[in-house]
Order: sequence, then structure tokens, then C-alpha cells
Amino acid sequence: MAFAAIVVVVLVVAVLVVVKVTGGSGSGSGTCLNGVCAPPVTPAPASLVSELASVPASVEQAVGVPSSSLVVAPTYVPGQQPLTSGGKPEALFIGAEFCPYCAAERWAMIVAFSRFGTFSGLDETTSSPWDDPSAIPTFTFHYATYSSSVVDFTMVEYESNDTHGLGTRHQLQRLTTQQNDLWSTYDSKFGEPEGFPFLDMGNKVIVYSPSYNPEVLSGYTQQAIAAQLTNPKSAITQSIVGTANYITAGICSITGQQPGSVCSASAVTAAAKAIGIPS
Amino acid sequence: MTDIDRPASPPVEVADEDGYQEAWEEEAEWRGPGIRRWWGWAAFVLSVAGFGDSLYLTVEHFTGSVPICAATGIIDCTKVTTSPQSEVFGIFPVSLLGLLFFTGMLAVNLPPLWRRGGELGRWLSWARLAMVVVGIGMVIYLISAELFSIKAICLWCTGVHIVTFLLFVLVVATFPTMVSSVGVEPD
Repeated sequence: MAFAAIVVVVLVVAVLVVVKVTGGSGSGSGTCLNGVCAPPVTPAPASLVSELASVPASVEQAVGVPSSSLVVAPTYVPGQQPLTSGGKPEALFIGAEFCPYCAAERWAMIVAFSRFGTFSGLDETTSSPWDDPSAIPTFTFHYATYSSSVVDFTMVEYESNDTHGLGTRHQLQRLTTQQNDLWSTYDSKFGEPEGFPFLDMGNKVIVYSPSYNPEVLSGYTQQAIAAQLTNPKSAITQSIVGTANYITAGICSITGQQPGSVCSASAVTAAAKAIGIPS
Repeated sequence: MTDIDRPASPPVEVADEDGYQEAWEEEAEWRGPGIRRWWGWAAFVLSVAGFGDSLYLTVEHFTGSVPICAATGIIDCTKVTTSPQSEVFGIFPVSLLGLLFFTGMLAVNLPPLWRRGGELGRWLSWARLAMVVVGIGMVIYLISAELFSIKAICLWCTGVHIVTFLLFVLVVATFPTMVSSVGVEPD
């Protein structure tokens, strides 16, 4: 009897592991409501991630600092306690999978942070098909990791996507006390309590509201958007790469302008100047 | 009637009849030679290990810091310990449940209590069995949450799961002997 009980427990755990290994890991399309379905989450193709990590320098320079009617610059916050992790300056993103503005911001963040390090485990999806604007093509950082020798990037997807209609989301990742404090402190500071997206670069440069209009990405696939990034005249490219240049300037301000090849680019120094970061 | 045949409950009444109340009470405190001394010590050491692991995870939870743990592939302690599944009803940390569980296990697994006989010994055996059954049920739920909801494995949590499983094996395997060997002299 005792032996049987132990065997049952071992078998139950073994079944869980086998189900997981043999196909339980997928998170395909969710439920549908009135013909509109929750978006699937699938691994981002390596070629797509590679395209975002290798936007030509000529495009970066040509876009430079876009018009403020197209891209809103982040905010420089001088005199704060530096945000660090493991001896490196840290950037913290707090977003949500349903959020269309986060969907747009992730494109620029991936382009910018890929200049300093490498993403892995990125999944592609869309923002909520029930929100407005709806179904903006994007990625999720939920299972992603980032490695860099000069900056630590913490990505928190605070809430999930909608699953069966507007507002049918749930908490996805819990914030640490420090992350919650930063979010409420800096977002409240600018009059918008704990909104998405929130990107804190070392407590020095902060994105606390959408940088550009997500609707510019509406109707495109991820591959189509990436393909646009070689054309500096495209509104998509100006929005994504222009925002990425601002974010890059913010990151450079906390890494001591390292790596030099990234931080000395004229588009980045121009973006730093536009933000108001002292040189 | 030998000591082994003597009914375990109520031993004091039997002793009263024979006029050896004091001596019998002392004998009834301990279990017989079927009980291995190392069982109690193994259970105690496992309980200490589980208590330490749970204490660490609880402290990390309440201080808002993240466990020292690799974050490669499916191994990611932070993702697990900051997930919604890390709290019951959104307020009660699972790590604190673990700490309470192992505090209880420590109490019932003190080595002298493993050799305790009489009604107390029988009660302790049943209590240990009930606790490890609840514990292993929770472990199975948490493993399924890690694999299918959170999609990440926390090594510190896995440590707690392994300790709970070993306690389950120990208690379940020894339970028949423990409940059938009550009220005999120590070896």
C-alpha cells in the first residue's frame, strides 16, 4: 500500500513532465468572441530578431531625431539614486501584453537594446484585438532574457493579453517592492499613476507615456514591419528607429557612453541633446 | 498477557489494575525494536532543510528581492517567485505556506518524538501522514503550475519539492510499522 502510494506520486509527476516535453509548451491562439480571437504567442523567428538587431547605421543616422509630432522624447530626471543591478546600470520596463502602446514601444526597445546586447526567447504576438487601437503586431518579453556586458535590462509584463474580450486580462508577472516603488514614484511624478509603458533607464531617463502612435503599425505583419526598417523615409522606420535613438541615448547616459561605437553615433548624440542630457 | 499484547489504550488503566502504573507509563512512552533510530533523524534533517529553503524564499518574497538563481532557458527563479501563482488568493505567499508546513514538520519530526509510543505516538504518526499527503498534493499542484502556467522552473522551489517528496516516501513507507508498534519497551 505504501509502495503503491509512492509509485502513484512518481507517475503523476512523470506524466506532467512528459506532457510538457511532448507538446504542452505551446500557447497557441486563445478563445474567440464574436469572431475575434485572442492572439497566438509563437517564438519570434531568429531572422526577424536579427533584422531588428541590425538596422543599418545609415538608417539610424538618416532618421536621427524625428519631429516631435511623430515621436515624443523621453524625460531626463537628474539627481536621482542610480538604478543598478549586479554592478551594472539597470533599465526597467513595465508593460502589459494587451497594451497597444507597449506593443509599439517594444519594437524600439528591441532595436535600441540590441545595440548593447542580445535578446533570446522573444515571442511574437499582437496587442489586444478588443482594445483601441487593436491588434498591434509586437513581441512579448514574458519569456525573454537579455544579456549585455554594459547594462542590465529587466523586463516585466505586468498583465497578460485579453483572453476573451476587452478587459479579460490577468496579472502575469509580479513586481518586486523596488520595481513597484519606482513605477509609482516616477509615473506619479509626471501626473500619470502607474501607466503603461514604463521604461526607467537607471533612474536617469524615463519613458512614462507612449513614444509614438501605435496605429502606424496597424495591419502589418512583424516581417513586413522589419522589412520597412531599411527605408528611412517610412513612417514606421521613423517612429521605431527615432524612438530607438532616444532610448539608445538614455542607455548611453547610464553606461558611461559605452560602447563608444554606439554612443558616439551622431544620431545618438543628437537624441541625447534633444532629451537634455548633459554631455 | 505480554507487554506487546497489552492494549495500547488506555495503558494507564491496565497499569492501574496491576499496580504498576508508574512503570507502565514510562514503558508506554516508547516504541519497539521495529522502529529504526535513523528514521527520526532522517525526517528531522529533511525538515530542517525544507525549513531553511522555505525561510529563504519567504524572506526574499517579503523583502522584494529575487533569489540567487540562474536564469537560463526554463530555469528562472524570479519568474516563478514573482508569478501570480506565488501567492494564494493574491495575498498569501506560497513560500510562507511552505514555511508553516516545515515548521509543523520540524515539530512532529523531532527525533525523540519518532520513538514516542502510546496514544501520542499513534497521533503523531497520523499527523505526519496527513501532513505529507497534503504536502505532496501541493507539490504536484506547484509543479504543474511551473510547467504549464508559469513555464519556468525555480531551483529553490524544486529543492523544497524534493525534500517534501523524500519526507513523503519516508513517512508513508514507515507508517505501517509506526502504527503497529506502540507501547513496547525501548530496544
